[in-house]
Amino acid sequence: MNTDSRPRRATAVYVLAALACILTFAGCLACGTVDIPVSDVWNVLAGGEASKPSWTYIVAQTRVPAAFTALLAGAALAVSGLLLQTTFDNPLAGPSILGISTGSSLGVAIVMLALGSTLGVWGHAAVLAGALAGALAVMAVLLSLSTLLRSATMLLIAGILIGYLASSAISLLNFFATREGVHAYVIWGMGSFGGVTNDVLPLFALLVILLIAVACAYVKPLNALLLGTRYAESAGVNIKATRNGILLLSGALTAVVTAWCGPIGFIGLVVPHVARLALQTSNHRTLLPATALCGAATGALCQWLSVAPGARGIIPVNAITPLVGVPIIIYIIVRRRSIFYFN
Amino acid sequence: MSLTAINLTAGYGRHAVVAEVNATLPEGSTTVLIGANGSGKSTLLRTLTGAQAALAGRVELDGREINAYKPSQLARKLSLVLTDRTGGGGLRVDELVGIGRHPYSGFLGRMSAADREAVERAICLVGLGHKSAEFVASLSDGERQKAMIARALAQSTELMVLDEPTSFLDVAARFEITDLLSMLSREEGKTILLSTHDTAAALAAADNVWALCGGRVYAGSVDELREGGVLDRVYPGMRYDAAAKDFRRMLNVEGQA
Repeated sequence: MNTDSRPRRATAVYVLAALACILTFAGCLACGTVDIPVSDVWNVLAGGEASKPSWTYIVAQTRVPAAFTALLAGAALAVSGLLLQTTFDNPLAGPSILGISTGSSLGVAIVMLALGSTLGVWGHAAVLAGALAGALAVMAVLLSLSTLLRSATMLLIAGILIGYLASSAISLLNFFATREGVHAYVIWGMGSFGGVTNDVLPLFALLVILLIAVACAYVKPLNALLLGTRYAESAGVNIKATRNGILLLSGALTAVVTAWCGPIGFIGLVVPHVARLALQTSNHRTLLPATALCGAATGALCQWLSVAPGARGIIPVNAITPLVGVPIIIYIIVRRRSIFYFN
Repeated sequence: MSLTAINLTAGYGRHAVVAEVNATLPEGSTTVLIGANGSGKSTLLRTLTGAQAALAGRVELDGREINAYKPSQLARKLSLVLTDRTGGGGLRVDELVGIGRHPYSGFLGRMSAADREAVERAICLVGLGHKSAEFVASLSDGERQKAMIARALAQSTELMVLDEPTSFLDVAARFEITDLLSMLSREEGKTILLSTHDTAAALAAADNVWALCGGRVYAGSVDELREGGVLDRVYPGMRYDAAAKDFRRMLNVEGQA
């Protein structure tokens, strides 16, 4: 293959992923439990009014923030997954595998199940704080262990075990919780991109974009880590500081999404593989932006599919993501020997 | 660029594999570390390069303890080729070799014209010019090892440490790489330390030898160690005979040249 084909392929992937983002974003706006004509949706987007005031409200206050949230959350989870897969040198690493999502869920479970009835108007803020605190607690344990465990594989196993512990604690909390508390927690756990309102969206967007921008600063050490920690160190990478920084970043990306959208599985695991296969490279300089774009498109696709049944209701996002993700993971496992970056 | 071991003891836990090493790598020369399997060559190299803590003693690089250098500082002075299986199958050869320029390239890894030139030169020197744009995963083990040597060359350090760099290579490639390393020390003044089982090729290129035997390091020229009977102890019995045969064959080749 000629060297010159690489920039062309990267450009093509970026353009296609951007088009996919636009298409899926449009799909999210056009579909929903209320049947609204596309012309009315367009009128609202253009700053006008739909034929009915309720339609204007639905498009502006529900569909637009949900579509943007899906794009941003998808990008955040995909980048988080890429960071973890490279750092742990494991193609099956992801935010949910390392226990970060489960830690976040535990934080929310404590808020909803143990304290739910006493929080009053502070309930929503407490859920967000719980999710962040849970993810940060898991990350703190992982970071502490990383000083003892030099092996990334051992750290990955430690993450899985922490996830089991958090799940166990969630089950215990469910056992002792009220019926209302369990119901609220189960709904949150199904995942939804509809939890971010227009008021909160700028903050959510700012956090995600900022964290992804910081992730871009790790492109060089991430490429060096592809050769293994000893070679990376010989190329000038401070392994401990880099690994801790990446863990913190990945955890923060996951926590932000989990806090507002619930524990969304598979996107962080699957999308980095899709981006690698499309780009035909593991070079993070092109891979990281492509992963963010592909993640955004995947998030919006899942949101689109979740509202596709229309008047019959909304399918939980976590019922959609395995349908999109599992076939890809099975394909990758089966074709592992012929996929270039596994050799 | 001088690397000195001072009363260095290397090993694991309380188990010393190599003890009381007092030796200095002569600048601008090729030093070959030889020893039987399990004699502690890799352990000693890891300790000398700061990748593993010494059990006792210390290693100094240019008069400063090696662990006092930041990784980014050390990367400009010392490059490594290891026996570890290389990852990075999803990179192209030039991208992998470009990682050698990380100590010099920009924040996001953007390379200057000089960086690109150094990468191209390194790839050509190891004979992989025709595979520059191919995936690392598509290379044979030997080609992958050459790519890793090219990455170390691209790092433009005065000191190169190579742990069995010719282990995956065929006979022709072994001499090719050994000659290349020898040329780099002769013409570019690089200080090279390499461990190997490939006695014939390595001794042909060696200015100095560090022989590991019974947990001790014996340093000297090839002739000194041969005459002092150190090679007898490193390769006792049949293995020594084979090494000696290789050695004589190497001398014949050298004589004809």
